[in-house]
Amino acid sequence: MARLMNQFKQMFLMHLKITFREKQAWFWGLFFPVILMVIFMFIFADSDDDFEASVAVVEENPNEVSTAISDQIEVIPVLNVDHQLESQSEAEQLIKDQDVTAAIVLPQSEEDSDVLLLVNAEDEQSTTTQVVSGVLSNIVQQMNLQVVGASETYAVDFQTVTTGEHELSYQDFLLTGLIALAVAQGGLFGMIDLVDMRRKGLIKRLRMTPVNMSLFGLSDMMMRLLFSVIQIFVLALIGVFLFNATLHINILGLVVLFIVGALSFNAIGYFISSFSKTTEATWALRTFLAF
Amino acid sequence: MHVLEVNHLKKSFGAVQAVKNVSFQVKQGEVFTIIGPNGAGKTTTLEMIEGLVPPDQGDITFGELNWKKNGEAIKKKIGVQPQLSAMFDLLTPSEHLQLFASFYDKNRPEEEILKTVNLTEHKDKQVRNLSGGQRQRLAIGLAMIGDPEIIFLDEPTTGLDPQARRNLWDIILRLKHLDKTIILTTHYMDEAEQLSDRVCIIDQGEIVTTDQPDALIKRLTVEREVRLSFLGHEEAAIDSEKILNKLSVVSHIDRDSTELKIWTEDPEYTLLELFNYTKQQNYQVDQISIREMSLEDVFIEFTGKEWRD
Repeated sequence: MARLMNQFKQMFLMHLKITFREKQAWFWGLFFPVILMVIFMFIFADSDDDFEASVAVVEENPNEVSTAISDQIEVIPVLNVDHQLESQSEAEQLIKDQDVTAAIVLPQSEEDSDVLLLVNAEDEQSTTTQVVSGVLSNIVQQMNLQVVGASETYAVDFQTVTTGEHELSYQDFLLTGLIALAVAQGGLFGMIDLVDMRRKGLIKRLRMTPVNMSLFGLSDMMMRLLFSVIQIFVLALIGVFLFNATLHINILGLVVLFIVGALSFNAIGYFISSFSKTTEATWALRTFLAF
Repeated sequence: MHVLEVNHLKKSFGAVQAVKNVSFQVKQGEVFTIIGPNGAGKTTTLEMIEGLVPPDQGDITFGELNWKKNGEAIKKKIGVQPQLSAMFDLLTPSEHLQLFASFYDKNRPEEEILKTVNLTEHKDKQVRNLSGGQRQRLAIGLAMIGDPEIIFLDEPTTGLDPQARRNLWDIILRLKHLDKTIILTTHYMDEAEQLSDRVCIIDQGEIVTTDQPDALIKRLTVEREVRLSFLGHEEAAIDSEKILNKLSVVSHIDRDSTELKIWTEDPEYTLLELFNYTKQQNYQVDQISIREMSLEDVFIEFTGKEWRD
């Protein structure tokens, strides 16, 4: 038993030393996922799902109708009323200067029924214009119904369903996705060196000794688990501290999923290694499986 | 006492019969060398004995042990230096020895092995930075680490420079002094002649002959080749050839201008007769040499000169 323990320890140390001395292992196992994460985070971290439009409201001649519409506009969360103006020409200048996305010119009298929406000609078909136009039409329609004393027969009821109590950002998805990718890649591509070992005759050399080959496989797998833990730790640190990602961790679930996931991908890696004769064939097969 | 017995070993790979019928015994403490041309079946025979390739027929026994029942026990008794010195490029000799030591119940001390194979100064260098000779020495060190009774060395000096070859010979002789049994394969006849207690010549999957190197050479022929050349014109050589042809111990003479090659069973008597004649005739002998037969002659005699690759 003591001999087996010593054998396991020596083989684990051997795998550990080889992995940590192998520059390619560092690059593909650690730096590549980190580089991938930094690139994706920089590209997508600023893309916010919250839509907001900056608008100016022109109320040249305040009246009951214009005040009512103005009050409605102010309570709509997607419209930020940044400027309250008294002339249409001021509004046009703000649009030209791109200080606001649109300007809403309110009716000049109670008899005036027109609400004018001013937008930049180049942005006429933009999402912002469409949204502001839609919101404004809705307000005007409500006013019309109110004037004729009618009520809505049909209405849209809006409900949301959430998967949990936390609101997940894109960074969170990206971070967890890249961690999963790193673990999967580690399992699939980490076994390349096993094929190389066989090609060099190292497996045959070991079989000439009384070594326990099961311990050899187990020690290799344990070392890969350790490497995956380091990967997770480094990626999580960078994601959380540099890109404000949030990890909503259920520790037990994470441990179980990590072990099952890592072992499954390692098993696939071993399976491929067992019948691939060259490292080139193994790379091709693994890349195909990875995608 | 025989530590290894191989009986009627046969092995085929498809239609190719690599080993046809190989039998031999190896005694405790001897250096037993297997020589043969490329493709003769040496490595297949060795791999069957090492338990890597199962034989189609035949028995291999290490004392009371055989591969079918006592595989683990046999692996603890033997140390192997394979032809391809496969190692972990990123580990050092010291780390290799520690790793391999963990596979065995008993070990020789790491420092002793490093000293024996002359790698103490290089023990902390990664294997990828070692020379060919240093790698081969480490391979022998790994074969020794479990303190085996029998050590298999498969072409340990192939590709090494003369100094490295001589260094490895010293290591093999040191192992012999440690009373280790050594099974060696080599392509170098001088190596086999220098190191071996017995030599086994294998050709086309069969043992051609097995004996001590000296006995093999003696068995090949009792004749010696005597070479001599004369100063001056051809007449001395022509007249000497005529005289020598009359001697019963001389079987054959080749003459090239003033040079003679004489095959004789008794070089001393032949030269005495020749010198008596040259003294009478006042002929002057320039150079003289007697060529000893070597194991290489034996090898060529038994295996022929045709290409084998």
